[in-house]
Amino acid sequence: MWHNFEIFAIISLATWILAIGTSLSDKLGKIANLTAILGTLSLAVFIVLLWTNLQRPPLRTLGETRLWYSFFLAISGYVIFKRWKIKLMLMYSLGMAILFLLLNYLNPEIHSKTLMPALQSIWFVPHVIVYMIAYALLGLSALYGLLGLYAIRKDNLKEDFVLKTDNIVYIGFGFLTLGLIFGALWAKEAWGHYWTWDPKETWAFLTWAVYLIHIHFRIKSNLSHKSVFLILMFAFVVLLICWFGINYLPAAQNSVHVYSS
Amino acid sequence: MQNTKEKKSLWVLPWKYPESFLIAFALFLASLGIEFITGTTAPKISWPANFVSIALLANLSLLLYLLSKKRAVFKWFYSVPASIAGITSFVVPSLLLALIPQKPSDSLFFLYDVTSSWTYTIGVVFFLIILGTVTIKRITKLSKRNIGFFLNHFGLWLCIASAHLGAGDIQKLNMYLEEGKTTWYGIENGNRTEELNFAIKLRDFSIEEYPAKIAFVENSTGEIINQNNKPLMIDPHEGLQFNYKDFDLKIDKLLMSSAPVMNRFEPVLGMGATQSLKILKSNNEAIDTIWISSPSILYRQEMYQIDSSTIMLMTKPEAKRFLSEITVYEKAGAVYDTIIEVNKPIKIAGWKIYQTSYDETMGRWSTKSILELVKDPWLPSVYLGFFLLIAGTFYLIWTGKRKEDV
Repeated sequence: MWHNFEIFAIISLATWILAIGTSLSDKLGKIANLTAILGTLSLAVFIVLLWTNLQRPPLRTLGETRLWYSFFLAISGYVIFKRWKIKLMLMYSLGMAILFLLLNYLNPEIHSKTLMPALQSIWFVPHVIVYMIAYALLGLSALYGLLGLYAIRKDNLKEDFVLKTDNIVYIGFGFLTLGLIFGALWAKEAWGHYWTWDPKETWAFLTWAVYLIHIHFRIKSNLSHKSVFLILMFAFVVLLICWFGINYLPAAQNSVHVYSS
Repeated sequence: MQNTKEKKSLWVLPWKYPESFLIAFALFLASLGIEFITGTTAPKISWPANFVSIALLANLSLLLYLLSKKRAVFKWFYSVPASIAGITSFVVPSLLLALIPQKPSDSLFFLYDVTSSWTYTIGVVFFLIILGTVTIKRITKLSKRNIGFFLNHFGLWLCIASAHLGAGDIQKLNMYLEEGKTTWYGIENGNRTEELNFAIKLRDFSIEEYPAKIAFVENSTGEIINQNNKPLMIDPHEGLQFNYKDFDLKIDKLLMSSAPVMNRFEPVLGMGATQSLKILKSNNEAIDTIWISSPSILYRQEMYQIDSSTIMLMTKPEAKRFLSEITVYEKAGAVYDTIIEVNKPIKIAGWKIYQTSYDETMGRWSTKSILELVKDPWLPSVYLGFFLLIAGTFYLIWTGKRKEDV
């Protein structure tokens, strides 16, 4: 069945690239919608064919799981795009989906070949992907913070802009929560405990808590918009420490999450 | 959201941020006081004390909510400033945890063992009381919006309450198995044995290895050479071509289980067999045949001096997977064969059992296997919290923030 993969992959790749390109334009929005759906359908058809052909769910090999990642990324990106009109979300998730398809197409091993046994888990990619989506959205919120500060300076900040920023934080925070929980479920399977205050876990919790405080602050406080935008930028700094800053922290030297070479 | 700051004296109702943070700070000081006066860490409570405590916490929240109908001061417990103060009292100890390397020590200085400290425990309890009160306040008014709120807040309450207070009931044992032998006890904290209601016989322990990496090592220091900020290491496979300085190298053979014979290696299966590589090295016209091998319990590691400053060698192989083939004898009578492997724990008689280690000095020739047995009776409650949170998260992603909340 895999020898037919090329046809379906090329359809998905071509339509998704077209969707990314056209989503930028207001006039061509319809084309973006249509092509995003078409590309996802093409992949869905291939998964169904592969499933019937193998007579088992295609979830066993790395290549098979990558198909699902592409598929779910495309769907979740599209849903969020439709719901919240965040074009960047569509571009980002389709971009990631394309990357996974290309990996299958070119067929290199995605992980280092020597992946320690505990990391060889079905949770690996979902855990990482939801985190990447969260990081992308929260990074976007920090960028909105910067744009917001600029707008305040120019005295043309619109209330709508603040609400949009809040929504990006909400969605990003949602994905952050999923990442935290997926990580905990994985840790339970691999190490027998879902939470050990490993330094990465601690920083992940702190990042989560900073955004949680921010969200609550936004409900009832008389903080100026300027402070709100500054907090968002600060929160992203905490996130960055969690992401790769901990590699340099003395408390983290024995963590499995330190990305050593 | 205009700046309509009114100057309000402290402790005049309704309490806002200054009062909230002062309360949190007072609790923090009080916890330090308890820490130094009692000279003890916070007690780790177990069943049924932890269950009673959780029930008390929930009832306290309920009581605070009911009191808030009579006295305005209790409304503070479900106000946003109180929530933020609550989150902060959980976060501050976590921040210490994040910045200071933790080490179990006899020193009572809480900075080095934050999770056992009074500060941490009191912070979490304060957080739970606030979270609980807020949750109760909201479920009394059922609406679509409040369902999402409930999922998130109660889910979190359940996770944290059962994870923290349930921690005292977690039991962990190690089980050391030897091939051919049957073991019916586990070892707690390295010394106390505990008889189990089942026995395990290790039929076979096996390790599958990755091909050992090729590394280029500095002759004088013994350290792996860095190239582009990465250690110069290669994952070998047959047919792979690579080069080092002026030399073209090609892997001609990769033997996963071999032994030295004269000046080459031959495939063998016996104990102590090692991984080896036949590499063809060419420089201009001349072609050399090189054999290098991994260190093994039986054979010397074969290395190759590629030039005056560099040695090429094979590192110690890493385990790809390791697993125990076992027979389980339950006291209740059941006997069955099964496999236990890293990341694939199994359940026997209420224990969840993990493959954790083996006799590492023997590598893949280990005839010993180390298992970890975990009993965590509060897990279903924590997981229920997780799943409520996941559902609440989808709600959050879908609805976002309403305009009127701003």
